[in-house]
Amino acid sequence: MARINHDTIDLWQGWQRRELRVDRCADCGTWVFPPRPFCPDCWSDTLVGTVLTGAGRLVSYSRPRVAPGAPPVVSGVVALTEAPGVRLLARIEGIEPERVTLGMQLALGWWEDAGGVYPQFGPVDADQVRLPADAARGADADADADAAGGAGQGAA
Amino acid sequence: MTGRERAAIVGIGWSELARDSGVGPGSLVARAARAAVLDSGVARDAIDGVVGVYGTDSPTLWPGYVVDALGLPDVRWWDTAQPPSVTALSTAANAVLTGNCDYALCYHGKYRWANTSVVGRGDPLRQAPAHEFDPGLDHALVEHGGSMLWAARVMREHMALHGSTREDFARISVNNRTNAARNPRAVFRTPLTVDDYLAAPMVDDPMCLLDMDAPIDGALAVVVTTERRARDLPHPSVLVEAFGSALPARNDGLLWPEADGIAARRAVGNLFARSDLTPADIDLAYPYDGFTILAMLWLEALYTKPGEGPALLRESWSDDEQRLRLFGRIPVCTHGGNLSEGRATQGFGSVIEAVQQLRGDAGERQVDAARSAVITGGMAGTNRSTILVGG
Ligand SMILES: [Zn+2]
Repeated sequence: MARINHDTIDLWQGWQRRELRVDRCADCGTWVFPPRPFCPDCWSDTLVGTVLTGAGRLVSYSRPRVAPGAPPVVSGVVALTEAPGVRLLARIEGIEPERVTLGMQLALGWWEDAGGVYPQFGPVDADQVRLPADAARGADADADADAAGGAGQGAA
Repeated sequence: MTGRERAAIVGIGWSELARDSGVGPGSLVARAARAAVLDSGVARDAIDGVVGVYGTDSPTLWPGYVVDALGLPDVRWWDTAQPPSVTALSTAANAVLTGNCDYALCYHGKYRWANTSVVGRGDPLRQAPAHEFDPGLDHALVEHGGSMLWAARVMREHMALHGSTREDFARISVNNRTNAARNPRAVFRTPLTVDDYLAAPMVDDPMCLLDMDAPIDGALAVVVTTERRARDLPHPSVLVEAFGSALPARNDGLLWPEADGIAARRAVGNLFARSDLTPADIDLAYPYDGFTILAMLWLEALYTKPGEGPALLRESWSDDEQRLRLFGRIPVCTHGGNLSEGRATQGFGSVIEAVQQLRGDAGERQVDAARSAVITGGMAGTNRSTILVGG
């Protein structure tokens, strides 16, 4: 069940409409997520909600233990390609867990339980296979993009 | 370093560490605190500062509870800190050096909370004390995608990018258990092998049961004063040489698996910037091991470039001893770490152990001529901090 507060209710209500909306700073262009009171880069209060298609790339994942007989769960960190510096935690569905690779391209979907509607991600191309070297390059590129995005800090 | 006065750890104490203590969290902290004061030789009425752990995922206690439980008549300074408690120790050190108090009692306690253990769920009396921090550790957003074990995703990323293997993480787990066999405080003391590790059940693949500390009830405490006052007390002084911490932006480890490694490296850099010593000079290493991947990242931050921890572990492994000796010399987690003492300690067990070692008081675990120790604490979501202590 979701934990929702005053700062995340708008995001949550968007999800119930199957809409992924991420704030962007109108002054400096920084993507702001999770929801914040103002732009962490330039401190502008002018944040504009922007609906994304939800194209993403898998940063990392784990496979938590599930009850015997329950379907496997892949729990992923997904970087949104349309919004550098923005990541979501979400389940990865529509692919055998053994075939999940770091760096793979993902597309947004939704799942639903009694508590509400949540984002999930699945493969863009179910036949896609990525080599570890590609995954490593993808991660580097993302780190660069995050640093350029402003709020992130580079490696020490 | 010469020319500046340092703080000294002059007393140590601990409660029983146990799967189920059968007492409340206040009793554990009070017992550890009383033991630390008695060990220090400082009169009870002279304790005028209290700082302790108060927050995150388990009922902990604010200093007022400790003041009442120990009957401390004249506390004039107090503060709280998040676990892991290395920052509580640095706060105590700062307080005595600035004169806010003369003798600071610093404690760490943890209790198996209903959402951290099966026993906790089944025991209706395991409830938070009043004024408790949100125990849920839920992500500020809404959905956790099936796993709150961010560290499993940190581990996955490390394996994919740097080629670390389960055998590499096994060496950390086995090393600590080998050391724990000689630590009467430890809860888990049965020796392990790499094969045992490889056969352990997965909890959050690639993380297995032996990659994680287990919830335990317990508390630990120290007494801190100035180097000058410490000379009048019974034990050899163990001095706080330096402290360093780091809280980079993007520190939410659930979203940023790389956050732990970045913060660890910065904290270590900040630590050694404040000392003439270098990591290679240190005699004892206590990387935080709440998860083996965290110990890996702290060891890399201390001794190698990012991603070279596995090679260090392979070169440092002694098959005969079933433990690590970094560069053929430096033992790692001589007490067995959180992995063996349990999640009650959250790195504070390393403080107790380092003090015992540097006093020459570590019994059959004693490392000959140990004169300095580096302790790292922390992980994503709570503070990452380091401390250097010396005899
Ligand atoms: Zn801005």
